[in-house]
Amino acid sequence: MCKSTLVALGFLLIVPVLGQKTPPHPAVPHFEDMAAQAGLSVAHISSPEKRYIVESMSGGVGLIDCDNDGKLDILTVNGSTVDRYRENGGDLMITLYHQDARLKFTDITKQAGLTRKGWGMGIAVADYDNDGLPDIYVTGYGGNALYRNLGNCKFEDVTEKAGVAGGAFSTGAAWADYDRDGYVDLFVSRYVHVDMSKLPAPGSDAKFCRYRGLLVQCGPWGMAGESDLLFHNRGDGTFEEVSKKAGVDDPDHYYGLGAVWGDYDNDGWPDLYVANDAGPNFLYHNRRDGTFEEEGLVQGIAVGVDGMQQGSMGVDWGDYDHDGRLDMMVTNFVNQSDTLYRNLGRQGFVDVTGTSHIAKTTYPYVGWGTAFSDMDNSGWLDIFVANGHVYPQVDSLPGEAHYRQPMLLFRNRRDGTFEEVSAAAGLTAMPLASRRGAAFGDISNDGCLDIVVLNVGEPPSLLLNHCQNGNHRVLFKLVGTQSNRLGIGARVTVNSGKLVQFSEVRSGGSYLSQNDLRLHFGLGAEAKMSVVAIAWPSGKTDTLHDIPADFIYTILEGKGIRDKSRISPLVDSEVPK
Amino acid sequence: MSSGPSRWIRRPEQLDILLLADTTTLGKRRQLGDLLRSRILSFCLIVLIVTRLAPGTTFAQTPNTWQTRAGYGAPETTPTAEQLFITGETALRNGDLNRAEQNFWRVLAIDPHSAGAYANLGVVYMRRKQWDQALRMLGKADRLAPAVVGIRLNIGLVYYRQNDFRSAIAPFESVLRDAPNSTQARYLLGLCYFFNERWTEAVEILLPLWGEQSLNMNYLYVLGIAAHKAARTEVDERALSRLAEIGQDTPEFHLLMGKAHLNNTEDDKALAEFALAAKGDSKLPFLHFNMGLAYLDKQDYEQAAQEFRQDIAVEPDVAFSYDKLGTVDALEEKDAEAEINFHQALRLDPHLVTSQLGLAKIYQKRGQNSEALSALDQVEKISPDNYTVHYLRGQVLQRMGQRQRAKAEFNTYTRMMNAARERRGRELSGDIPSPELTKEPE
Repeated sequence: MCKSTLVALGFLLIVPVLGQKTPPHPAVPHFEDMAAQAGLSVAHISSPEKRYIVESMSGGVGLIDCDNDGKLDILTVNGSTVDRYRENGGDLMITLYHQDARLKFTDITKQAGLTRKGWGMGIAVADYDNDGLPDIYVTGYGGNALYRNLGNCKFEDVTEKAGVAGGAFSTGAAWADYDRDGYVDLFVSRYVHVDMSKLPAPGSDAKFCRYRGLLVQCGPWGMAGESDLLFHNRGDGTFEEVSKKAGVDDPDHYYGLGAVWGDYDNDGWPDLYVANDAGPNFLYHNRRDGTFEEEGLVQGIAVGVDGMQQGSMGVDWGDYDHDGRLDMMVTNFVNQSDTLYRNLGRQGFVDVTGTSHIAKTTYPYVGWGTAFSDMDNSGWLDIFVANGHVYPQVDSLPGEAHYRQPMLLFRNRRDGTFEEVSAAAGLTAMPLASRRGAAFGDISNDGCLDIVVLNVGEPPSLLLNHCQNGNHRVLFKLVGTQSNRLGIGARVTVNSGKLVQFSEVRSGGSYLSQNDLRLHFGLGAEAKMSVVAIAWPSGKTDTLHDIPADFIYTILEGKGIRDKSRISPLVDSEVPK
Repeated sequence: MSSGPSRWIRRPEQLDILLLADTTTLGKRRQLGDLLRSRILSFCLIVLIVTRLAPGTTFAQTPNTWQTRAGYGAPETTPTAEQLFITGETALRNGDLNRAEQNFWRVLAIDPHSAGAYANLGVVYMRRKQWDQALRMLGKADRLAPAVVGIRLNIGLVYYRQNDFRSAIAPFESVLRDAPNSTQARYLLGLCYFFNERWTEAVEILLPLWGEQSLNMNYLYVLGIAAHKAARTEVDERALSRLAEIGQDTPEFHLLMGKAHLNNTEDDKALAEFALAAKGDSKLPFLHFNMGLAYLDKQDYEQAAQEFRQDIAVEPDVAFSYDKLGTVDALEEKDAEAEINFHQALRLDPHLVTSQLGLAKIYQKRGQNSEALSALDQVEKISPDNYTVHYLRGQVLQRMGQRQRAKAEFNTYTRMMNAARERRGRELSGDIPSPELTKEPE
C-alpha cells in the first residue's frame, strides 16, 4: 500500500473520540526515583551561582540501546563551568551508563570511548551510517561530537571526519530523513553568541542582567543569537551543511533550544519544530524538494495566544485527542505557562493551554523537558514536565517560584482537558531540583514508561514507573531496510477496540534529549490490536492484523515481525535496593 | 501671579488631596478628580504663559508679551492678534473650547509663528483628549519656542494621559534638565520610570521628593516598590516603614500593602492585606479591582470575576474593571459576556487596547472576520507600535483565504517584533495595571 493511500486510510480510521464513553481512569501511576540504587551516580557539573548564561542551559539526557541487547542504556550530558572550560577545555561531554541487568547500571563512558571534552548540552541518537548500531550526537558549547557506534557500546569520535562539529553554542539536535533518501540528516539549533573571553558580568547591564531587581546572569536578551544548522547526510559518512539552502538557518538569529521532527500535516514528509527562547518558534514545513517553508506564524504555533513571544525550551509532538493529527506541547519560561497547541488540520493550530487546564499549574515554573506519554497505559497521552529556574538568586525573592522546582504530571481526562496528578504520582514528594532535560522510555521493559531527568549540578533522577494496573500495552522496535535503519520518521498506527492511536519514531525532542526509539502504546483493556500499520519513510507500508498485546515487537521493514519478547512486570527482587 | 512650580512647591497639601483622591468615596473622588484635572490644565497653561516670557520679565509686568508682531498697528475695527489671543485665553479659562480654538486659529492666520497660539491650541486638544492634534500643536509650539519648558511638560502630559509612559519620559527629562526644581516634572518622570520598570532611575528621581512627599502614601508605595525592585534595600525599608507609620491600620494602607505584595506575585499575602482593607472599608475604590487581579493571578477566574463585579458596583465608571472582567470572561470562554464587558470598557475609555484586542479575538474565534479586522484597525490606531495586531490580523486574513495579505501582516509582525526585541519590551515582567497610581500630581 502506498503512503498516500495509507494516509487516506488513516483519515478514515481516525475519527475524533473526545467525549465518547470511556472506561474509568486507572489508578494514577506511581513513580520512584531509583537513580542512586540503579547506579546513576555521576553529578552534572555546574557552578552554584550560575553567573553566566552558558552555565544555566545544560542539558539533556538520552536513552539508547548501545549494544542491541534489548535493554535501554542511559546517557546524560555532564555540563561544565566557565572556570573548568577555560582551564581544561571543559569536561567529558556525556556519561554513558550501561544497563547490565534489569535496572543495574555501570558507568562505561571511558571504556566506550566517549572521551571528547567540552561543555555538553544535548543528545540525539540515530544510525547515521545504517550499520544497525545507534550512534550518538552530542551538542555543546564550543563544539559538538558525533560518536559512531562500533558495536558492543564502543564508539569512535568521527566528528571532524563527518563534518558536524557545528561550533558556537549548540543546543538542540534532531535527526530525520527529511529528503527520504534512506539516510538520516541532522538539525542543530543554536542559542546565543558567547565569547568566553568577554563574558558579561552578572548585573552589569541594568536591562539585560537583572531579574526582579536581582543582579543575575546576562541574557539571552541583549545578546546576539546564533544561526541554526542542517547537516545533509551524503550517505558516505560525511555531511554537508545546507541550512541556508534548505531555509532553516534562522537569519534572525533567534535563541534556538528544543527541536523535534514530526509530520504535522500527514503528508508523509517530516516537518520540523524549533523552540526559541524569547522569540517566535519555528514550524518548518517540508516542501518535499529539500527545502522548507517557515510557517509558524501562519499555522498559529509560533507564539502565545496574544501574539507574544515566549521563552520556549522543550517540545514534543503527540496526538493527545486522537483526531489523527499531531498536536504540540511547548514548555516555557516562568509566568508564561507551558503551551499546548491543538492541531486543527487545514485551519492550523489553536492554543488550548487555558481550556485544557494546564495553564494554571505550569504558570509559576520554568518548564524544560516534556513529552506526551501514556503513563498509565490507558491509550491516552498524558503530559510530563520537568521544571527549574535559571537564576539561583530567585530564592532570595519573597513569593517568587524557587530555583528548585517540582516535576508535573498531567493525566489525560479524554475530553480535551488534563488533570494534574503530580502528588498522587509521587512526584511532589521527591526532592526539589532545578531540572532540565527528560527522556522517556520503558527502561525496565515492564511495559510502563519510565523517565530519566537531568538535575542541574546533581546526579540524574531515574523515575521508575509503577503502573501495573491491568492495562495492556505494546512496544515496537522498528528496523528499516530501504528506510533508515532505526526507522526514524516511521509512523505506527494502532487500532485496538474503538481506539486508534499513532506515534512516530523520533530522534531528539523534549529538552535537548533523546527518548526510547521504540514506540510504546497503552491499550487499556484491549488484549490485542486489530490492525497495526507501519508507514515507513521509504513510502512502504506494513500492515499487521490481530496482534496480541503485552509484547515488545521488532518489525523489519517489508518483512513484518522479526522478533518478539513478552513484557514481564518487575518482581521485587529485581528492584534495586 | 506666582510661577507654577513655586506655587506647586508652596502648597504640597494639594498633592495629598490629589493622590488620596482614589481612596475617598466615588462622588468625592470624581469631584476632586475634575477639580484637580482642571487645576492641572490651568497650571500648565500658566506655566506655559509665564515661562514663555523673556528672561527677567514676568507675566504681571508685561502682559503684552503674547502680543504678536502682526498685531501692532492693525486697524481698530479688526481684532488684533493680541485681542484674539486674549479672547481665546479667556475662553479657554472658561472652558469654552470651541471659542478658544477658533480664536487661536485666527491668531495663527495673522501670525503663523505664534508659539503661544499653538501651545494653547495644544491645551484645547488636550482637554478634548484629541491627543494626536494636541501633540501636533505642542510640537509646533516647541519648535517655535524651544526654551519654554511648559510646552515640553504638556507634551509629556499628553503621552502620560494616554498611558504611554515610555514616550513621556523624554519630555519630562527635558523639563527637569531645564527646571531641576520642578517637583511636578520630577514626580511625573519618576512615575514614568516606575511604569517602565526602570526601577533604579525611578528611585533616583523620586527620592529627592522625600521631604515633601513622605506623608503621601502613594508616593511611599511607588518609591518602596521601585526600591525593592532595584535592590535598594535601605530605601525600600525606609519607604515601607514610613508607609506603615503614617498608614497605621487604615484601609488605604492595607490596600497599598496588598498591592505591594501583588507586585511581588505574593498573591496570598496580597489577599490577606486586601481582606484587612475590606474590613475597614469594603467600598474602598480599587480594593476589589486589586483583589480581582490577585485572583486572576492565581487563575481563580470565578473569584476574580466576582471581585471585578464588586469593584464595578463601587465604581461603575472605571474602564479597567470592565476590561479585566472581560478578560476573565474570555479566559472562561464566556465570549458573549466578555464582549459586553469589553464594549463597556471601550465606552469609558476608547483607547483601551486590551479590550479592543479582546474583542478582536472573540470575533476571530466566531469567524466574524470583518468585525475582527475592524477591532484590530482600532487597536492599530490607538497603539501603532503594537505588533501583535499584525499577528492577529494575519491570522484572520489567513482564515479568510487572503494568503498574500496575511503573509504581509506576518512579515510586518516579524519586523516590528524584532525591533521590539531590540528594546526588550516588557516580555519578562508582569503587567499589573495601576490606574490608581497614574493620577497626575498637580
